[in-house]
Amino acid sequence: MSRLGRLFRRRSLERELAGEVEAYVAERADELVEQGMNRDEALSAARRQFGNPVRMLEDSREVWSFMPVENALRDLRIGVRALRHNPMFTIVAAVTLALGIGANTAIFSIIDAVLLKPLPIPDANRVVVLWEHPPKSLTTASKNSLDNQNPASPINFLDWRDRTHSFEDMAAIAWFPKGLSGAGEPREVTGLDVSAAFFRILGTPPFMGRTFTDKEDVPDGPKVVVLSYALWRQQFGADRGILGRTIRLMDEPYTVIGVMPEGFDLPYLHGELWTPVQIDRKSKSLDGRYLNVIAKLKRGVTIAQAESDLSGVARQIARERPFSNRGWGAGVVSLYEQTTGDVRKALLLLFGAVTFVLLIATANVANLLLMRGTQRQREIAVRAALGASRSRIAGQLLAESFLLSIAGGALGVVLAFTGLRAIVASATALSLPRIDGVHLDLRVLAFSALLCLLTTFLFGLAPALTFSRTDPDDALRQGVRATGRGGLRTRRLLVAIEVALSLVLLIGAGLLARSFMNEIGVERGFRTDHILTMRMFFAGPQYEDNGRRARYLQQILDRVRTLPGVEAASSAHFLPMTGIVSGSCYTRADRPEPAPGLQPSSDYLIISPQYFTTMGIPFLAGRDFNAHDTVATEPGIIVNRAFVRREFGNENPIGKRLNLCWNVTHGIIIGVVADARQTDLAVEPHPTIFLDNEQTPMYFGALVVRTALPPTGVARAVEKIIHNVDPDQAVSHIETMDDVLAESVARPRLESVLLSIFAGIALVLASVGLYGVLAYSVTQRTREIGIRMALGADSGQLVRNIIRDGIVLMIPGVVAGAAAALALTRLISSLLYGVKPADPLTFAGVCGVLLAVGLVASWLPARRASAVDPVGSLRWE
Amino acid sequence: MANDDKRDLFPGALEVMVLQVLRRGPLHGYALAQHIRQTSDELLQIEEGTLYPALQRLLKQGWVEAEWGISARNRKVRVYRITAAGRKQLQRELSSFERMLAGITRVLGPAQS
Repeated sequence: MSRLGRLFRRRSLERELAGEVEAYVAERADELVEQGMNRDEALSAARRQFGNPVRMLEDSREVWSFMPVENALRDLRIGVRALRHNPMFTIVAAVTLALGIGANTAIFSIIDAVLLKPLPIPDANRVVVLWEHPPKSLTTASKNSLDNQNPASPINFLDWRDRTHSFEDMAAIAWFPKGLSGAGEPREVTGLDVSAAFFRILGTPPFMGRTFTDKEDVPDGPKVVVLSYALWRQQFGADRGILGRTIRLMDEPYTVIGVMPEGFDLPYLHGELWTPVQIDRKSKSLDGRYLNVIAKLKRGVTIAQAESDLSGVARQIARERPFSNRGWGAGVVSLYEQTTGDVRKALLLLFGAVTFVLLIATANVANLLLMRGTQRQREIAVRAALGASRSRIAGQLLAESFLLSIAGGALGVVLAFTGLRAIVASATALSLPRIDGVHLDLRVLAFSALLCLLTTFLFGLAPALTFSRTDPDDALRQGVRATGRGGLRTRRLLVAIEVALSLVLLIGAGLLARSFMNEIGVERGFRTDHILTMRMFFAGPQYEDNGRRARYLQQILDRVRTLPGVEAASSAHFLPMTGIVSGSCYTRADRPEPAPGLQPSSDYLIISPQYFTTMGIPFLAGRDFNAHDTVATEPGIIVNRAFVRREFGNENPIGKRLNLCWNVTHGIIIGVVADARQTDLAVEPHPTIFLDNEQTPMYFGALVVRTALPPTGVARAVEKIIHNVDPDQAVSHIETMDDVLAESVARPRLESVLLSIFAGIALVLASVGLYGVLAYSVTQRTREIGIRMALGADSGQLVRNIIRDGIVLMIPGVVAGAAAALALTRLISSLLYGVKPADPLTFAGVCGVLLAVGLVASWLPARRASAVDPVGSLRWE
Repeated sequence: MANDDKRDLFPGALEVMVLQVLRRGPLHGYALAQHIRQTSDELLQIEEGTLYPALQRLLKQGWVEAEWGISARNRKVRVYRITAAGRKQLQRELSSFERMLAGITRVLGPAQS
């Protein structure tokens, strides 16, 4: 008979053995009666002689049963019954675990998609990103370690490619939003101008057609374009006849030669279509740094080797062309690091946080189980007395824990699923790399299952071992009051651990929250309310001419300013709070020219008249640009206070002349404005030179429109004006300045919010744990308290005693937690703005909050104790 | 689990004795217990709590078989009967038993003299 078959034979075996017992006893009794004993005595003597039939039954059954499975099944069945019997306990424990497992599942699924899953690129570990490193004088202290990465100039890229030996292939990428017209509504698409090597490095064959060749990637080469799968579907209705057709980009015809497969993209630089970059070595303007560079390492070459190779070339370049390269270096970083570098720390921080939450949840459930075990000691004692071995009892208790884990895990996965959708929605908005790959897939579920098992042992083992040791004799003799101190010390230790862990989390959350408040509360120097913004590219053959391009924007602004409800309108080539600004060198015309490469540098922002009015930046001296500033007049310069402080000190800057490293090579200072932050809130205002778009027209820009009414109300009207001037003009990012600001701090906000949520959960769980232990000890001491009260003890004194007990319970946890936090918060210092990792205010505040919550958690049971009715408690037996 | 049965003898001895007794003819549980007790001149006390599990082990190995029968006192009982495999097993056990006994005797012998 198969083992499984025997499982079903159990009933008949029990019947058989019961028959055996009966027969044995009857036969023996008959014998005894024959020896002269009376019937009743004989029966009981026979039974006594037979011994414990339950034990015999168990042993016999074990002979047949496939023990592990059968015992486990039985334990689980009994476990279900025990848990159903005590629904309050079950719900609290399962929800606690669900919070822990759910938080872990959610964060793990993000980490899995963003950090762990390999990039969908063959040989991804050989794909690297190359950057120039600006001289120290130009870099700004910043929160982001990848911030001293500067795009490369075309001439430097060509030298890198020709002179290095570490790379199999090297490709330049220029990021250019492009107006796509002639296919439905004119639309701005994210175009990447790339070398032919781009597709070789990423190693993905096209979905349809072909990618371009080195022969096509030459100056004045053919105008060909490769589409992304998404664009092909959205804009061209997945038309399979698209190959060979002509589309219009920036009003120029391009032939579609291929479509890339779904999901093909550079993980850190999104593109919707790709055109050949066609760098011309003979061109005069190859010094501007705007190229992203990727490369594939030769087999066996390490990143360090490649970097020293590249740095060598960069040093040669600096010697050969010092004017634009003195002090500049170059670096190599893996594509993985480039993609995940700046989110890794935040994700690991969150993962640490949820691990803490899980540990606290686990400690809490262990606590609950210990408490419950104490109440069940009698039940356990009875089972032991009936012959259950220690391992059987431990197994039974573990089975219950396992069931709790499973219930908690299932609930946790549901929680994770819900929470994840919210996180992914907000994280997509801040373009977290690879965030669309986040799913609750099998890997993630396997992780949750593993957590369930792990937690089962974490929280189930201590109670199982504690109570399986129960001495039945003792426990039974002590009767109903037999509660003992079973596990009390363990429980106090667990509470201390919970307090410590939640303190660390709270401090982390407090620091991030303060950092976030600092960031949004910083003196930013401009207003964000009532401003509508939108971004445009002025490209295409009709705008090649500087004058036409300048007039075009002027025309739009003039009409926008006449709209009802519009107070002022202007433009800037880079909108504040979008993380970007131009920088270049300048010199004072009234001072001797410094050596090439040693000129000071400054931020450059190209604006239109009314910019400062629109943004609410006050003038400190001089005047704004106006209609009289034209290409025919001397270029005007407006500088900010930081610039004046550095360059002029107490001199009057108005009327001073500067030489500029820009399209206009000189100008006269006509105005001074107050400082305003430009790239993001965490970066102090830099010395800045403002030039008039009329005098040095840019190819792209953002409109800023100050309105009296809610700004979105005029968006349609502004768009209509633009399309009246040029029906093919693509407009993107139509949003209020408030939204632009919110987006710029979306990531620190998300980090801070998530960490606060986890810390909040931790605080609740820890205080529940504290409350549980105190409430339980009050229940235990009801009799003692009753006696004391009957003897005239002061109930106030009693309350104070219990609260003191609670505080004493917390102190070691608080001390340990503060020490741990001191060590751990240093790890997140790079995520903090304007607050030190050991910020005393945060530490003190958080300890205060925790103690206050602890006080409440102790006060509740204390109040119950003081309400004990002495007479009732003494009768309670 | 729970195989920490405190047998009075070394493991397997009870099974061998049961097989030996059954070789002379089928018996029901109580009679089996009585028989072992009497033939050992009450030297061996068989705990019934261990007898039945031992019988189950033998059933499982296929060395004995059981069927419902009638006892001398006209009671419905399970009657155990040794099988051919059981006889072979008994032979094996007995010879190794004797070798072991011989060994023990040799070790203990000289010390006594």
